Amino acid sequence: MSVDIRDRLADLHIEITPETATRHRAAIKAELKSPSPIPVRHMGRRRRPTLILAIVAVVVLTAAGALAAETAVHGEPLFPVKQVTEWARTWVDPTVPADHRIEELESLIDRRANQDAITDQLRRAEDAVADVADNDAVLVDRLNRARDRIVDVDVDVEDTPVSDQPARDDPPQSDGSDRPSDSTLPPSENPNEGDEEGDGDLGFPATIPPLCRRAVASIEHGETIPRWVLRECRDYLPRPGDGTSDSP
Amino acid sequence: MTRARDALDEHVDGVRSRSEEAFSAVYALTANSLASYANGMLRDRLAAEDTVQQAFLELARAAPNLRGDGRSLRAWLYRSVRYSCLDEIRRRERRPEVVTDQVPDAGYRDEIALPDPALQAALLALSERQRSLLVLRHVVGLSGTQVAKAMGTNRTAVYAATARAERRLRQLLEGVESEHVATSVSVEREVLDER
Repeated sequence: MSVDIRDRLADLHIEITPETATRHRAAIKAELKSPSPIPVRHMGRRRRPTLILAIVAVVVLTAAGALAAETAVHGEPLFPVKQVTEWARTWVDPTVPADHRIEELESLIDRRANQDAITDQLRRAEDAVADVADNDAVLVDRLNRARDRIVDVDVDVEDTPVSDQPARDDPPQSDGSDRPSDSTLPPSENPNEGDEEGDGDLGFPATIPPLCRRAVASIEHGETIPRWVLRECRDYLPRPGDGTSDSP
Repeated sequence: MTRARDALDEHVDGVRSRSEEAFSAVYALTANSLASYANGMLRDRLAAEDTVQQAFLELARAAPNLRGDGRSLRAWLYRSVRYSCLDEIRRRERRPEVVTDQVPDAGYRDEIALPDPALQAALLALSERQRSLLVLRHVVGLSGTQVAKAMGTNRTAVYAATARAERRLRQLLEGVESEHVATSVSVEREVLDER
């Protein structure tokens, strides 16, 4: 049936008669002799400069964005851009993510960022280095150096004996706004508790800021203290190897 | 894999430069097929021939901006004829044919005599798209790819739609032919009754 339909359809084919064809050719010839009413479009006369400018703008903006994102650290607005370029570069060099994580860690340490941010970044850097095949020695070395920069202060403090007497009569005043209150310490550890004169169990004078008293007490108990506390109280803490010093 | 060359490939540059020889060659290669397509769409040989001439005149005007190869040129011509046919169909719908007592001369009638009136009637009952597909595939004899390019669709869609159109045409033909048989029988009965 289908073949029958196709055969019947094929019979509808017609042919233009020679007279008609001659008439058509004459009309076409006349049309060809007249100028084409449709202007010839030349891609480039008007559009090409715009196209080139658009391409250049896209390339420049992309490159600028990628460049600006190079120094971004976790949590910054440009960090996703950095991750995209990093993903692309990983195809060429698989150590790029680890390299970036260590750079970010070093950047945070240089900026003296807060301890939590540094700790988180350290964890990311360690993960990234662990992901690199054969644990690239250069990366491991850089990571270790960065790690040392984080903990060296703690090590110094832990190894340092605490003197009973502070050395300064005019210590810096701590603002204490974002610092832990002394009341968080148990009475036995709080130098100010029940000691109006300031010469409690550890014998601190009242002129030492509470924060630093607490820091010294923490050291005494073998605890590590944040770096910013050390910085704040450096005048009241003995230096390494200076066990009996009475001056800062 | 390289595709087969189209017979129009070698004339495309000539057409772009509006060469008379190139146009003549393209006309010789395509005019009958274009006319068959238009005739299948319009069921009107004279109108079909006019659409072919119209397509070539439009090509002469648009030639400098023509893009692509011979297949593109062929598709362009079929699209041009198709749009002309659609215009003609719409024009007829707005202004229905006027019935007249005047009979054209015998020569003219022979020229425009349409074969297989049942098939032509069934074709006209199809949608324009289905008619286009069937005519391009089975009257003009274009390949699925060529039809797809002329219709602005893909080859798979052409095959599927053509199969549906064939089924529909078969149903319509059965209806038209049974009606035709019934009419013939009733006329014969009337004649016998009169006798």
